[in-house]
Amino acid sequence: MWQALPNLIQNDPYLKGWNDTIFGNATAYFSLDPVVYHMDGDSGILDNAREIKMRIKAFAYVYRMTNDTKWVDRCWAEVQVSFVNLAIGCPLIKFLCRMLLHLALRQINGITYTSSTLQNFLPRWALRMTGYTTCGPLTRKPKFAVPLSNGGSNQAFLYSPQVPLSAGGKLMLPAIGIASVTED
Amino acid sequence: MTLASLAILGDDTTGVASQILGFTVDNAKQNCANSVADDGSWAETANYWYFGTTGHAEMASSLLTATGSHYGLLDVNANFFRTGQFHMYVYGATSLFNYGDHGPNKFSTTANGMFLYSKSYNQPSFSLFQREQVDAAEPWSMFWYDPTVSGAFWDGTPLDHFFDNALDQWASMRSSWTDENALYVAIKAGLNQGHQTHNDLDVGDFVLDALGTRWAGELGSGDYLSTNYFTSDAQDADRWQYYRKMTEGQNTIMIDRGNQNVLAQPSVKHDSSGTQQGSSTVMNIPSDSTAYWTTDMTSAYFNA
Repeated sequence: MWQALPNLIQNDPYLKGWNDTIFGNATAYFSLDPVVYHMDGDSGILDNAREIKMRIKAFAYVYRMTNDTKWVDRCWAEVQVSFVNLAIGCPLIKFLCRMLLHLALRQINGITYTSSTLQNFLPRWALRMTGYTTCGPLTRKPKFAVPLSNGGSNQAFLYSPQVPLSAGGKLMLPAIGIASVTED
Repeated sequence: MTLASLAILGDDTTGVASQILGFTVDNAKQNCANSVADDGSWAETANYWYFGTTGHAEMASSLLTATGSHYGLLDVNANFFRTGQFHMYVYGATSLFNYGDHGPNKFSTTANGMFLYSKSYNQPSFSLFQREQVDAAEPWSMFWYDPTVSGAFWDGTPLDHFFDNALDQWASMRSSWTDENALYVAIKAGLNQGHQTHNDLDVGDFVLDALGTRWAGELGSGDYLSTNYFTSDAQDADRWQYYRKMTEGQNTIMIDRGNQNVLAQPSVKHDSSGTQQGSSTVMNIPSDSTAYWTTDMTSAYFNA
């Protein structure tokens, strides 16, 4: 599908216009500071999460169309601020930002989702992000959870909704993260 | 959750990704897919349609491309396809008939699910409509838009449409599909509950566009952090004490400075000459073209 796009863009005025706009938007986002979470507005953290997703989609699209790794680096800058430099913020915020990034990347990578394309897309990220698959107490009541206990380092534990939840499973965190941000 | 699970499904040795997919697909089929009433209206609000359909379309597309099946997400509700038509009619000459909560800023949320639905439900008008909209210019369109689509969304499309499901009885009436200066009136009755606590006490509420201006508009969401804003939609709920949610804050009749009855069950009557726009973007309204919509909203009041 990615391979077909350049020819389609050249031959369809709508696709060409959108492609140009996406490149323009990505270029505009490129020079902006990464989205910073200050404090809850009346939309909570949804605005931050969706703005990050918007940017990542544009960065990732342009990266896939150009193979210029500066877009990968810019994505990474967004990630670092989102969930590394927000140490003073809620651990959940860091976690959600990371999750949404994770999600956006895999979405944009895809439309065809395979592990191999993911690895081709962001090999450097995959390595770096592994280092950030840490977990912290979630401060909001989870709406959804899959109890699992599979031994070893991937154990996850779900406590009652009134008690902060901790988890070690890489998938548990994203699952609850998304559930928490989709409530509105 | 679905997208994340699909993305790592091949690498996940814990079985959790597969387990989550077993929950999320069924959950979406039971809830998200049923947010569309049998007339195509979205149960929350016209603005929340964007969030719901974006998620629905992303989920359906990712399941299709990763596994070859949408597992019923696209057809478990036989009327889901009508929500594309809902979106077209709820969008007026200047902007949306934006009753109830308008929700958070959209950023990455768009109406581009229309492109996916156009292909999935063989409804070219959805794509022809959406490709003219400003929010089409983002990455999802690059994959969901089928450039072989042809025609014009307004060609043969009735100017008026009535949505009669009891949850959201409403009318959409306009003088042109292609003129930003067109006259557009949209008005609603419907139930004051059952909208995931995103509605207002607004039976009889309407918007009016003319000369490129919205003359009667909506106030939208209150502050989502307000006390008990989402806690309840019962008659005594705090939500109905906020101006933007109470009857006084709507374009409708208020009696004794009180709120409408949350248990209102209005009825509606309507008719239209059925006037359609032709292939031209210049719409010349015939002299016998007309439409009306009325509601008996007595049940919405305690002292009517």
